[in-house]
Amino acid sequence: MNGDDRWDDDARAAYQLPIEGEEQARDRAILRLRRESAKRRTGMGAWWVDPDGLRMRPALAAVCVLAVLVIGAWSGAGWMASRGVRAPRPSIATLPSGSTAVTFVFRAPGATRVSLVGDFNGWDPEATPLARATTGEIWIAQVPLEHGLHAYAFVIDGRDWAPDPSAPLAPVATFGRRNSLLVVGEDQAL
Amino acid sequence: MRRLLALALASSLLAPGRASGDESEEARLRARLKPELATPVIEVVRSAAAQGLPTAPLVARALEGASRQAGDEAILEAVRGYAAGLAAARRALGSTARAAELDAGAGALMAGVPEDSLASLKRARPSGSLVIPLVVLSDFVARGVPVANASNAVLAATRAGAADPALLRMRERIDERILRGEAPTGASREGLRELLMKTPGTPKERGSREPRERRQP
Amino acid sequence: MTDAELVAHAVAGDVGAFEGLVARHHADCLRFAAHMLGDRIEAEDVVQETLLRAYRSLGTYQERQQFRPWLFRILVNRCRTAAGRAHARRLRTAVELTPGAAIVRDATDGFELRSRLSRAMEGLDEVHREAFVLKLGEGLEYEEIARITGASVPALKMRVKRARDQIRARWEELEHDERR
Repeated sequence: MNGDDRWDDDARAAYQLPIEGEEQARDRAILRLRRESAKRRTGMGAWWVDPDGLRMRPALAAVCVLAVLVIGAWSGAGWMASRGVRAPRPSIATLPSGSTAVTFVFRAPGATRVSLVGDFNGWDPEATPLARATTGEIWIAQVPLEHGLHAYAFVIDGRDWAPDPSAPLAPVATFGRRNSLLVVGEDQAL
Repeated sequence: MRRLLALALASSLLAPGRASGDESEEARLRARLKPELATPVIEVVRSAAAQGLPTAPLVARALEGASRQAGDEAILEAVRGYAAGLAAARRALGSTARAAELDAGAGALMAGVPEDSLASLKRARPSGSLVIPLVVLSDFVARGVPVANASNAVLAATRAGAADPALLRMRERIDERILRGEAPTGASREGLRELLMKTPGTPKERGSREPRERRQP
Repeated sequence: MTDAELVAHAVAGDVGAFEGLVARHHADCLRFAAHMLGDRIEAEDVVQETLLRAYRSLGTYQERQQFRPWLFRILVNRCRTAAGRAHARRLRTAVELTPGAAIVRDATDGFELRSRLSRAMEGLDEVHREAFVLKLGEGLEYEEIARITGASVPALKMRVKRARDQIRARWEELEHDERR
């Protein structure tokens, strides 16, 4: 590796350090998206872009806004927890050296529980549950993984094991069904 | 200081595997396997460690088997087979191969890819990582591409200088074709042709048994 | 699921599928915006605007496109707009991206690296910063960057080279100062 390559690697490593509070920012983005989606579905939302759409006396409006904020903060935290969305919390974004946060997304219609098993969690179906997205079919988990090769699968309702349809397959079905393969940290060459 | 840390990190990433057994691995195996199974599995793991082979994939196979509620014999057979695959992968890829390369290489060999093909891949990319090419090769075999065609597609692409992202895109294209109902052999040929058309530079396809692909300027 | 599959489900009305895309790409978007704008809070706003705009524009997404470059095209435009606002025009970097604002994988070493990169990028104009970050930071192909930014590939290569030379020179000065 020459000096140019080494400098590129150093600069890239500096660039790719995680941004503090990224998870919380992502949760806030998802909440905003859900609000946008709800507005679209119900047809609500035109009023606030139309200045004439809603008129109210200022004092009453202030009381309403306060009530919305208090109720929203209280119910929002519970709702987020029930949805598996982490509430914003003060923390430093940390990842172990040589690891990358990987997002797994799996579609499982009709499932009530989905978990991720793989080399990274001892193939323990209880270790890494996926969170259900707003609608019922999409399940999501974000997991810090060490750089290298990982075999993994999804477990649906604690019984059915399935590979990730979008990932490379392991060449051998060692125990009856194939696993999926994931390579972390290998495809970042400039 | 930072350079020292970077060197330490690089060394850990480049290390071919732990040279000695890992007590925490053995503890995990004892916690999850019955004693009569844990003992022979740990023997295989220790033997692999003594040979300088990576042990994490062996532990992973045993734990996977336990979670899938496989029989003791099947688990032990899987662990032994993988250990043999890792040793064969090191023969083919050389003693400097990293743990992830040996892991990927073992899988490919166990699927029937000949050691010669792995050695050819190593010659085609002597200093770069072979993990992605081996994973792509394994995926093709898993999806029904005959081993010879799969090996030649990955080898020709690697010789042409295709980088890892291009290989991964080729895999996606070929998988899409197979899912649409195309025959795996034809799908792999078309996927390779598309890749070579997009790969800059002259493809170095000497020695490949795959028909030489024409590239558009 | 692939991005293309998630987009197809999102277009069909499944907002959960778009959440999958957000989960997958948010970190990259936030990192890019933070480096472009030098302001973590502003970056978060821009990324939210980008994701909402992408969600509303899914109908224009073509299946043959890769989702990430498509999303980055929207993001780059939003960053340009934000950078054009008076309070972000200075491309604040070193001060606001360092303590407590954008960190850290691993103790002080990562902090030092990030801080040095931020300071080395100070003063770099928007187009050079954009090209450098998309190429070296995000690892995109020049053809993809051309589609995202609207610049030609030769122009982008020149911008990346100039940006890299300038950043590296400043980086090495800073490294030298840190050792003293």
